[in-house]
Amino acid sequence: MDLTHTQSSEMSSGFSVRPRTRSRIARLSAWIRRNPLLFFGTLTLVILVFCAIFAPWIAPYDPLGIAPRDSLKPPSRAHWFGTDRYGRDVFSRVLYGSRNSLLVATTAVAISASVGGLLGLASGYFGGVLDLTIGRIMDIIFSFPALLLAIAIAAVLTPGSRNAIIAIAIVYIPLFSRIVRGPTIAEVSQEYVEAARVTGSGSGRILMRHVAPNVLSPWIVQVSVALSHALLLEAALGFLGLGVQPPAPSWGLMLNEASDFIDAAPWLSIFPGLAIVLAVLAFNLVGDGLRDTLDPVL
Amino acid sequence: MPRWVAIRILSTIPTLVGVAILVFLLVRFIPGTVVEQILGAQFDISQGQIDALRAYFGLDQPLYRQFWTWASGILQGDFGTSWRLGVSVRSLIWSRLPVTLELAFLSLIVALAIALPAGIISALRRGTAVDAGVRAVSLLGLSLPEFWLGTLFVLLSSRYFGWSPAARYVPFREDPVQNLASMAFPALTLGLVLAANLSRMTRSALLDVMSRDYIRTARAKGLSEHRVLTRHALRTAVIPIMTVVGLQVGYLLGGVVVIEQVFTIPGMGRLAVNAIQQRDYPLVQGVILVSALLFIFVNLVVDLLYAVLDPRARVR
Repeated sequence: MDLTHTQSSEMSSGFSVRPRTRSRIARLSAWIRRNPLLFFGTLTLVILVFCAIFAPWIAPYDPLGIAPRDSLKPPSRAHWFGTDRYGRDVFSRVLYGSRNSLLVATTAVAISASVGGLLGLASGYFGGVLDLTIGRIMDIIFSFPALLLAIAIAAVLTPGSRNAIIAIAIVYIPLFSRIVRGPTIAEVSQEYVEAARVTGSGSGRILMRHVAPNVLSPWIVQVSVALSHALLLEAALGFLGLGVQPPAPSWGLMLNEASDFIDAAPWLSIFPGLAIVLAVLAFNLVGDGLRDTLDPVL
Repeated sequence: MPRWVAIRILSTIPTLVGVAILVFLLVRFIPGTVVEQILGAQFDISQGQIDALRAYFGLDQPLYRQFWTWASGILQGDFGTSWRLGVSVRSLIWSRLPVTLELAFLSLIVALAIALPAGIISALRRGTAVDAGVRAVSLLGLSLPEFWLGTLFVLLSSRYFGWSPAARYVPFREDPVQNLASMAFPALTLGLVLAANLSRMTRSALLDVMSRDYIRTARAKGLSEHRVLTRHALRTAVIPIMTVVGLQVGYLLGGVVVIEQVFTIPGMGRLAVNAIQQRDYPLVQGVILVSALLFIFVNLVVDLLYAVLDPRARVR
């Protein structure tokens, strides 16, 4: 009996394939209509990451390939974004540059989000001297204009992509620590934390298994906002010659190399800049979309 | 002086000390010895000469002693001497600071002049095409690297208007009109990017206030919408907006560094970049420290103003 029943229901579901697919599309389009920012931001990011990963297959030229005869050629069919002073293809360099720029920004934010998040959790959960100490240190880092602190750190550690990552990561740690600390304090006084403690859970377990998931949403929103800031910061460091070092391409560094040719070869400035704007805009859209979804109060 | 003012001012002291320690330590993280950095590896120098230089810069002293010498100098207004230029760091900063402050101030005015009306209209016309437009433009503005926008300005004006905004910088005292003309594009660039952020904050601050009960009461009393806005809503919304402006001064102090680079303005930002490129560490320390102090000072003022406007903030 049961068997036949299941079969028949499968049969009927087999017949209803068409309407169900349509409803899936309808649901997707309804979701897009409700979260247009999130959708377009994510879509742009997916495309950008795809381009970064598959740059070797997409790029028409070697990003480091010098061709003196093609120096400073304007955009054409052969070179979509033109060529730079060494005759290198700007389109290929923008593609490869996305790898460096995105890598520096995401690694830096990954570090500051996890370090800052953990500091905020510990600060809110344990309170007392630990909270005061962490809070003070965060205040001190926060007292510096972000770009200046990043410049100083990157310069002192000697310019390069690894040190740009360290510099950006340090600058953004206080943001995450602060955004996690507040909600953690609110959560710690909840009954379920008391209950977990009574049943013998250790502090680490309570923090990671019980408190952390409940303070996750502001942290996630902050991650995407910080990514957009970090990309801009990476671009500024690159522009000042303190980020990724030549001849490797990065968007900020390309703008630095373009600054001598603003009038003679504007395409050198325009395309890497557009790439930065597109990527930062995508992260901002995702950030705004996530905020609307996760935190409807604001 | 009221007690809460004194408490607030005193509470910045630990931060100031921390900032000083961080700036001091920053330079001690340089890989290799500082002396090698100055002389460069290509010179063939004896150990005796290295030792002499180390002693000259006080690097043979223990770390805490070095910090003490440095910090007590700063308290007396002595920021040390530039390694490359041989001039006192204080005089270098003094000569560049007004330029940077002027740029930051003008940018802030541009930003406020755009952001406040835009944010208010956006909040009052919530959900309309105007609101959507303001939000879209400000989201785009948030995503623009200021130095790229500056580059575009340089490009456009030299191409289509036949004149260069990157024209030589003229001090205000020599020729105020020329000075303001040379500052126009840099200030516009920074101001536009800053306005993007401020208009969003203004919008959300005002929306937050407009949904409160006392606004409904004011409306129920029969007050005109204009009066509700000017007498009740904006007064409260000013406080969070002011806080954001204070925090954005940090953005401005960083933004001037790259903008001065784009428009070749001889301010503190260019001083910092040159100092970094030439590994002139006392100068780097001085510029970073002064910027941080400025930022702390502005936020202290904002905090005090905050408490003046909202007495609840005085009780700590």
